[in-house]
Amino acid sequence: MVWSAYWPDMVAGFMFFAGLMMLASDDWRWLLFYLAVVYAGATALMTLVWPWTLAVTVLVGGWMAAAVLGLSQQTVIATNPRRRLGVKVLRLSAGLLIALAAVAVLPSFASWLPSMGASYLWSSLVLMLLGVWQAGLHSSNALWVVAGLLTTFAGFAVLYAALEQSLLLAGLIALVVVALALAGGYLVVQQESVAEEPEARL
Amino acid sequence: MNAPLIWVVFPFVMAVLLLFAGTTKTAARWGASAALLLALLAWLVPIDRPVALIGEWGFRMAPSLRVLGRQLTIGDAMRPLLMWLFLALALWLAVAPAARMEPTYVGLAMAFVTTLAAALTIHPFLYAAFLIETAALVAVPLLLPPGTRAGRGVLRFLTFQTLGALFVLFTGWMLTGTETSLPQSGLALRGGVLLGVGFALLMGVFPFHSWMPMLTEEIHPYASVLVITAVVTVVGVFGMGFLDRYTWLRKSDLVYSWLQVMGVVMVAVGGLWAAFQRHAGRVLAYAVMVDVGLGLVVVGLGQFGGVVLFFALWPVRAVAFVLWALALSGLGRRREGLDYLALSGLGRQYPWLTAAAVLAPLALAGVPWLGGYLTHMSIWQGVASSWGALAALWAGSVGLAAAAFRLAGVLVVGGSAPWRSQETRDERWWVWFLLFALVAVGAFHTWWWQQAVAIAQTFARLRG
Repeated sequence: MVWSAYWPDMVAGFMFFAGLMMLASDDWRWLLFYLAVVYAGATALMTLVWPWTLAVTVLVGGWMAAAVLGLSQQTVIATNPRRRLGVKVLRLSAGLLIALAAVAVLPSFASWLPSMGASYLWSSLVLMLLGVWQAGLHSSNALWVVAGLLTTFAGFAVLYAALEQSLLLAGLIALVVVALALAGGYLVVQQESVAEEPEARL
Repeated sequence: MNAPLIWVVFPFVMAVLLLFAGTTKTAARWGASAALLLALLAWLVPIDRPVALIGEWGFRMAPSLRVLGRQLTIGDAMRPLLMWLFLALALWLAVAPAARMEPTYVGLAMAFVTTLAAALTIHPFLYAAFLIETAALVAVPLLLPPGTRAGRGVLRFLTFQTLGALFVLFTGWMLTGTETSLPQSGLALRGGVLLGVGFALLMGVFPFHSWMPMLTEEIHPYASVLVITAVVTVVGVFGMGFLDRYTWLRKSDLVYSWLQVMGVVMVAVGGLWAAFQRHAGRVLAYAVMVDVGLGLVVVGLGQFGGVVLFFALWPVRAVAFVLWALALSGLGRRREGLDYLALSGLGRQYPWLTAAAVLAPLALAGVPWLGGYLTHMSIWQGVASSWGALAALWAGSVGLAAAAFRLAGVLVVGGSAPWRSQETRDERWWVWFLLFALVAVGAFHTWWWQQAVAIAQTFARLRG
């Protein structure tokens, strides 16, 4: 059996694993590492429908976003408290439930978008759902929320790549991803630098 | 000369330049003048028609500008819409120094509104989703200038705008080519539902409204209310564009029924919840919710009159929210917050700001003699055939009015300071001017109505 037949399934599996680990991670380094893995996977999947020269814009955008968010952590003094094992297990279980939910809705989505392979579509759905779930779980932590939104964007980019092939679109997606990371970085800095000060604006 | 160059590129360049202004007053002077000039140009200069200057000399303003293979198009029919958008922006920018905003506020506010306005001009329209997302990102430093803490409200705003933009982008692709032909029922249902969810996320339609009170509670009211009202106004127009473009959507009774139901729920919930808040900023957000709900109700009437009413809500919205935000900025600054406990008794020292903070919500509730009354009357007449809807709209208005009286009580009753006006001169002047404008909107209702009809003409196919 040739490797290429399993290629999308393997990439989808890696992406899901990375997305799942993002949910459980409580260290920003691991969070951003897995975000970078998600964007690498998304790019690899997109090469199935886009020329790699076009798909690589998403990789560059995603990795730049991770780098920008990483730079914003230079201002962070407090470390995130380590979560208990039970919390991590609960989050991983929720992630697995999301994967199952994506499997459950896959047939109806596949009927809307028949040109896409099952693993391609599933990976896109599962990334979007994991991203939203993460943004909801850490709704007061800017880094985790923005990383969640970027994960959702990665899933959407995979889905949209199969629908439209355009240089402008690829550029816009990369641009918005970087801009989102810049806004996220700014929010992280604002959250950390004035964490101890009272609200002074009113 | 080119229309998008004037109304999209020029204000954006101006916004970038304004970021370098040293003081808010300087920035506001230039920014408000530029916005006023753009409103004046939109009023006077026709697009794609020859304009005579001197003798045989003249010019014709081209309606389109090509950018990377896509087009920004501003037709002649869009002029009234642009006039109102830039007039409202001019008002927000002019009052900014009195609200003691940072110098960067003016430039960022102009960039934010211009980016949103650009979303209405781009073709193919699905690229508008990227512009809406960009506007949300521009709003982040506008809401949180350096030195202020990022709370959950901004994060939720960013989350909802991002998800909403993705929904609209996906639906835009899904519905390509179905403008005139009725798609298969499955596609119509899917497209309609996804579109509805996307717009609900963007506009804070119930139950996706939580980001609005969170923003107005955590963020300076003069920044948060500009962002919220601009988003709901422009995205509302963008949504009308969808309704205008797709025949099957426009002809669907189900769409209008849902708009009405959601609108009625928003008015009732927003008004009633406003009455039970203990934070003046949160009441502002619920008033926006009532206003958005009224917009949905009138569009849901499915008649051209409803579309006109949708735009007739704009003048009161612009004036009342600027006035209210100015008042709360002034009051909050004196007591380090807008919690009712903190504001207690402050009205005795700041009676004009108190009057502004009370009369603005009353105008939005449709109280007689103030700007919103006649529009509210027309809306109540429009839904009079349904007693349930009418009762819900009244409940919303009564709730909002009760919230205003409760705030008046908080500001006036507590404390023992003697009555003495301590507002600064610019605050007082602006409050007087805006209070006069609030009454004038009601007094010159016929003129505003004609303007609303002119804007509604943009949506040529929604004429019933």
